[in-house]
Amino acid sequence: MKRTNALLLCCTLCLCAMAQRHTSERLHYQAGIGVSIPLPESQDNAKHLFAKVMYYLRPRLSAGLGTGISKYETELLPLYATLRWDMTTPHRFTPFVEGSIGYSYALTSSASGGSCMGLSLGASYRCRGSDEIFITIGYEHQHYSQQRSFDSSVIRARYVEEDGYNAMRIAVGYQF
Amino acid sequence: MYKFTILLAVIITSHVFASCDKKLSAYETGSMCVEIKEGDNWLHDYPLFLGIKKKNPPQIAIWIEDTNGMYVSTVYVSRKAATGGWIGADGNNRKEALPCWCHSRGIRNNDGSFCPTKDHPVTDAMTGATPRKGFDTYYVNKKDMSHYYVMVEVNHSTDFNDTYTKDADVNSPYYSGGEDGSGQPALIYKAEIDMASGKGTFTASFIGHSSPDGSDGKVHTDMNGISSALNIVKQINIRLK
Repeated sequence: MKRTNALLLCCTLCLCAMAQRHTSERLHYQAGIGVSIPLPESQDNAKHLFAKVMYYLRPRLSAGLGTGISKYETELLPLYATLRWDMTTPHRFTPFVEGSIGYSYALTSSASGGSCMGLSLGASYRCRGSDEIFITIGYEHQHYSQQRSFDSSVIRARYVEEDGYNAMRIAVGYQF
Repeated sequence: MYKFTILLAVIITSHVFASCDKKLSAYETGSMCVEIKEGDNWLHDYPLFLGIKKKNPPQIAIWIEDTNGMYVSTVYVSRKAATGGWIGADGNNRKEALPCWCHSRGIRNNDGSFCPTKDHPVTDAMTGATPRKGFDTYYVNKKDMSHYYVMVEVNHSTDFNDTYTKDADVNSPYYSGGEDGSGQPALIYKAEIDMASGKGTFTASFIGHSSPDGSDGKVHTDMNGISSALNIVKQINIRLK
């Protein structure tokens, strides 16, 4: 059910963005993938598939909403607001700063989601019209909790682990 | 209009997900709950670099012993201690972190020590990150033991004071692993669980500290030099749920 909801959300946002694409040059759609390299004390790499709708408030400032699927030790569906500021006026190469904040929902019954935030530096390359390829690198924090358990012939143990995942996140994507 | 459509889609969907995102519980009917309440020194400054410090929770092991003091099973052990995942310990496997639990468990590694290592991590117990505040752990005793002990060992890294110094000599009784070691040794709490007593709650008592350098698994009762470590844990209760 949650996976269906996730899919529905992605589709809704994509359709809204694409349907309105021709009515406003200010509206752009992004899709991409990313990987998180954990900082000390966080576990395992995380992988991300994301989609965003960005609206240009000013020529160099855009705000948007994003979602996707993130695979930590458990699968999460993040829903976040994002703000991007281009450091220069748009060129073929444009460096930018991007920040995001939101909440992630767990897609399994043994986990519960939590807040997420990120801050990254990036660069975009205009490749066709206003379409661009971008890459970002930055810090990511994701909070979530999951049930840990152990079962043997002697004991069955359980507890809820609160996990604050801190990582360096690298992402690449396409904006159109 | 389109902005409104997007906003509406997001709000509706987020509410759907919010209703799905439930509060997790490890409770199980008939289980015992080890309830650890954090003390004032639960979080401890751990030096990173350039004078930057990080607040670290302690390493903890919870295990069961029978009335003869024989190890039965581990209920929970912190991930770092369970996997030898020490960061910034300069190769030190921190045998002084939870020595009482390590020796009680009695599984010897290739290097002759009883500490789990990266190559020989704990596979016979539940492990996880120590929460940044007190927490509850649940267990069901499948052997139906009615009389046994729940042991808890707690330790901070680099918890130095005037007695347990970072530059203590290796031969000193206060040597605790050097610069990357424990400082004050691990503390041990013990609760006697007697189901025939009719009680529903059993409070663990502080019984002493572990070997400062991790060389043995004995409980030491000389409390000289133990100061702030006494406030890592405020109280430990074991409740029948």
